[in-house]
Amino acid sequence: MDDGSSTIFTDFLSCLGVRHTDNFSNRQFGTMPFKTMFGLKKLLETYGVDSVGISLGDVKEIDRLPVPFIAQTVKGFVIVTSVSGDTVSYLTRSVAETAPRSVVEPSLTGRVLVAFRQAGAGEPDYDSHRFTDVANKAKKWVLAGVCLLLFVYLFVTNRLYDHVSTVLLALIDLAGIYITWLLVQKSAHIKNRHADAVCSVVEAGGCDDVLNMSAAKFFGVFGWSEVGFAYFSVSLLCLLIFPQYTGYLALCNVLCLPFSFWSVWYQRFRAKTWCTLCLCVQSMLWLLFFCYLGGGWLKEAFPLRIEFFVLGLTYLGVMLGLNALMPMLDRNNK
Amino acid sequence: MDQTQTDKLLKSLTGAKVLSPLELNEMRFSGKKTVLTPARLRRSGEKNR
Repeated sequence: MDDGSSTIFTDFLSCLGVRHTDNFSNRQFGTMPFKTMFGLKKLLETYGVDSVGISLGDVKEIDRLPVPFIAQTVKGFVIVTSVSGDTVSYLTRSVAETAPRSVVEPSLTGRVLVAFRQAGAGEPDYDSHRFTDVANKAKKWVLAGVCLLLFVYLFVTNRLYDHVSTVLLALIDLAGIYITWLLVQKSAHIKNRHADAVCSVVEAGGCDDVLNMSAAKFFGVFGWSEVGFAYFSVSLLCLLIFPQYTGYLALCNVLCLPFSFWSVWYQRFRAKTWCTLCLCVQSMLWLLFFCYLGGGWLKEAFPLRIEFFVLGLTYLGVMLGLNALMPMLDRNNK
Repeated sequence: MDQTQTDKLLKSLTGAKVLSPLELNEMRFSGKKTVLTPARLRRSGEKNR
């Protein structure tokens, strides 16, 4: 599913074998006027599924009910998928669980919803919703493909492969974009398991602690994650499109290096916690520096021409653009 | 589910009854996203006794 969450409605439809799309069905479930079992019953009717709510006289008789059915427990609802012998299998928040009947039965209120699918049951306009879902998923792959093709085209036509330093610069910039994008997502409170995995390498929760501090903002306005993302993305684009200005990129990199000392000092002595993603960014700044140094690009930075200042303005423009977009990305603002 | 199927099902259950629309409306979906693990069900069952 696109938003990464499922509902009891889509879980139930899946158990019943009713064809549906998660996006549309979850939206229908989320917007139903009665957020109750009555509302769900009415919604199921529009999918061609009949249902009846039953209050059991004896909860031990759940084995006589046709599965799947929704059962109310004192803590919420579960979808019972099978009752065999002494065990009950059920679905809770899309997680399949199995428990002894002696555990499940005491927690039941005795109220259940039993459903039967009619012939031809399914989501209204399923084909059109399915097409939209597939098209939306395909968009991401098309975007990735376009970016890859452009990258390869520029890399080859500008002969960046000729020099080992430019190959490494492109690779480090790519890695920098990925790491700072994870940081941007963290700043925008977007859950990402890759970001969490990287962050827990040095210190669990360290990234969140550091990113939530006032020092995580440049002049209290720009998040360092935004600054980093703007830096690596503009650097890569400039390297790919205007490789003749690699010397200016080298000079910009040198100007950024003092930040790495400050950041490490801040994490060590002020925050007293380590942000793995931030440390990765600082390492990449230094790796870039050594590549620029080794490739002899630093001496090409002088004399300074107008293009150096245009490059500076581009960094600033992308940073401001991203800063304007951040409130829209931030999950806490939604 | 037609009336015959419902009647047949109810006959096989002791003391069961069909819930009215009002009773179904009392069964609200909470916004909680808690996974009801067997351990949670056990604890809630113990309290329910």
